[in-house]
Amino acid sequence: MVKREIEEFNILIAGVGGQGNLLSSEIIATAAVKSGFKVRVADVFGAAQRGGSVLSHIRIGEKIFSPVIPEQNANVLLGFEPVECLRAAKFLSPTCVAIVNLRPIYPRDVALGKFKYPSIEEIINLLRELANKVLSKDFISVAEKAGDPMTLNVTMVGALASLKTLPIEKETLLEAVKEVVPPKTKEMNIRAFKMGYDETLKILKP
Amino acid sequence: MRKAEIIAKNNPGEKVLLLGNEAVARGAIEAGIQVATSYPGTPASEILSTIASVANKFNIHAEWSTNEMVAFETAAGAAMAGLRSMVSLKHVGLNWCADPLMAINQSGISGGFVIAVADDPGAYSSQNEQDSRYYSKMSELLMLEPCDAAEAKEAVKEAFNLSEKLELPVFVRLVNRICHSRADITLGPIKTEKRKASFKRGRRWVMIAGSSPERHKWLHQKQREIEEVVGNLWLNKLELKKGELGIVSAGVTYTYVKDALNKLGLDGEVSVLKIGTYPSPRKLIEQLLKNVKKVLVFEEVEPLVEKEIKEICFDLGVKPVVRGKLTNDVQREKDLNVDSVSKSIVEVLNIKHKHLNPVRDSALKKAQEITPPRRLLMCPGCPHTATFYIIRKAGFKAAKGKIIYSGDIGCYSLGFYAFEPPRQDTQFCMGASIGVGCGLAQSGIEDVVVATIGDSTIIHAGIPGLINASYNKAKLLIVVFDNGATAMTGFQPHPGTGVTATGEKTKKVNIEDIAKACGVEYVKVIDPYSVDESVKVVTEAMKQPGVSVIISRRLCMLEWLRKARREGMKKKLYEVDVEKCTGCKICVNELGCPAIVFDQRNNVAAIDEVLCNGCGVCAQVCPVDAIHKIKEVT
Repeated sequence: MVKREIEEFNILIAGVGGQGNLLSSEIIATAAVKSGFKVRVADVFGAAQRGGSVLSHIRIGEKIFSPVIPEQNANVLLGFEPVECLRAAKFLSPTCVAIVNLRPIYPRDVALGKFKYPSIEEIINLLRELANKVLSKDFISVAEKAGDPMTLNVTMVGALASLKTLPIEKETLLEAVKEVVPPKTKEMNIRAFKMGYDETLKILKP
Repeated sequence: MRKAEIIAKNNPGEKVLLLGNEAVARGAIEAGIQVATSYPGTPASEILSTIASVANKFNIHAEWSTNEMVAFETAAGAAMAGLRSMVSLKHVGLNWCADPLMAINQSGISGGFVIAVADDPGAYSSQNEQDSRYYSKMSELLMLEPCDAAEAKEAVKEAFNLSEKLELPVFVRLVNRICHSRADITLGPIKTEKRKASFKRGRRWVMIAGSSPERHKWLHQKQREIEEVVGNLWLNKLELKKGELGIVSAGVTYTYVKDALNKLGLDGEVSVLKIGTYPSPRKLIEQLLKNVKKVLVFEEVEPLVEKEIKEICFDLGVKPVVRGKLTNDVQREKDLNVDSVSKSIVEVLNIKHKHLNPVRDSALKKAQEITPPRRLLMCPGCPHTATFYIIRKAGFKAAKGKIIYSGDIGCYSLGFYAFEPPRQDTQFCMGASIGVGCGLAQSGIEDVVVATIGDSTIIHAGIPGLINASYNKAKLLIVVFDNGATAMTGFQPHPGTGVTATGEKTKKVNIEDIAKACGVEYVKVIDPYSVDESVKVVTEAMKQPGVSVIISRRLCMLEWLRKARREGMKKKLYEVDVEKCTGCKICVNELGCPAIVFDQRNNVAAIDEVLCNGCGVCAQVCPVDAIHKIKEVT
């Protein structure tokens, strides 16, 4: 395989602590290292073990230095949770492809009635204005079919693999999944990866 | 286990993905470290846990020490015996080491001693944004400041070499954005030969009254060697270009500057001085000053280098314009990033901002407006949530609700964000709950003063305060939130857990025995999952004439869940009986478990089945018995 030279490719993962974003960023970055690219990743989160907003920045290419994606420079958004995509909006490039899981995790203040959770339609419309393409689906239901809603993170990596613009091969990503996930969950996660891939292809070419 | 295998690979030249902290650990292993010490603290914690994961394989002594001062002294002692040792800690942990640091800097060291300190610009997980370079300045010791995770590994190896060359401890300054970023790292060879320890007696090790002036002179003579090292070190680099602007970037900010110049299309015009040491490389700064008209300085936290450049300008009699934090051209607080750096460059060069598309602008504004906040919470079923409820309830019984929560550092700190009104009234540093609590109590204030402190924290910093409370007769209630781990930083063991950093069994320190030995007469252990009984005990404790200690003991819920998965234990699930629920909101507001939500439309509480971890505390708290166990799941 001839190594593809790329200057810069940025992937942003937006989610909530406990959804497994960090494992996804590790899988994608491991695959990028296997592909021979320079890689920088920043996992940005607060003091909480669970339940806070988590952003993972993954940067690939010869021209990158900082691990954090500059504003308006994310080529892909992997949105694990709808409002977290909005929180990350400033990073989206006008050419960005956003892959969005539609099932919300309601913040505490929403559950207590202090704040309103925007409608899914409103969220998607805004993302459509900010990104070039929005591919949305209830990816939790895909993960459930794969065997466990907790495999959402690997399902989303599978979804990412379906993008033609991605400089990493699908096989390399799958190889990284097998390496990074806990051995006991390997089979289920391979299933989740493949289902995420297939389901996203269906959105792309119905 | 997979990570330990990668860290242990002796396959020089292979590229692997490592976390910044793992890269630091690997650097120390490649350098042949024999003793590694630390106390957990974000963002530095993974350095020691990574070394500990391969410690047996490489015959390294790795330990979680009781606090940073002990960790520092332990590592220093090993280096005095001629070994290579490293202490890793967060910036505020270094405050604990100020005392030994300011003596050992004069003795110097005979082996290699590296102090890896992780600053937290933006204070994402700390009480302050503190600049560790001040410790380098104060102790007159060399500090290396790598710009990213890949450089960090090499910087650690270099620090060991320089420590031995200079006979001095050497700092490596990291920041959150290096510690918690991942990068492709090229593995180097691992030094496997181990040194035999030997201690050479000498006057230098005895910093008794009368010793200092001579040793201080020795340290001052060392400064010339440090200056020479700094002038030739690969971590400092000058990239001269034709334009009139020169940028000075220290540490991590170099990566922001390189990205910003690339995005702005200015990399061919602007000179960049990359600084990777403190003290700064004076000769390179002078060279830059001779070639540019304007200097813009980027550094994390405090404008140290910026001030020094002004001094150098004064000495040289040159007058280039020096801009930075002091001139408000660079953001003064919070961590920098590519965007803030770009903004500064654009403004200083007076070039136009790239205009955003107005449609995009308004969409971004709208996105910001409709995004609900996601504040920090306790985990569902956290025993601390129950303990806070119990303290509050007892406070009503014993003191008409008049309680001051004297807070501390740990998961229970989130009692500030998680509850309304907050259940942390003060919070400063490790152990301050008891010290500040003593003062509040001695003031004669009417309120019951409750010091809330964790199991790891009381062992780290609470014991002298505890003795003080008992000896000086403070009317103080100390509640130890004992969840069996240093939970907030990632469940590291501590002396109260009976396990070492490498997983070996050891002598377990018992907190109730400590309290009794400190002279506290009223010492009781409660289970926060038994609410009524615990309220009774805490109420009684609040009525004691002197100091009392309650140990609220329950394993961290996240640890319990892991254990349950391992051992196939079942988790209970609870449900609200909507017929019985009166909508009183006691479970929502007084207890405040995040698994309980409120259905506004029907005016009843509801339990989120996905979030609920089955602690059963809400069922005990409900005044009308509307919450029941429905099933058990794995």
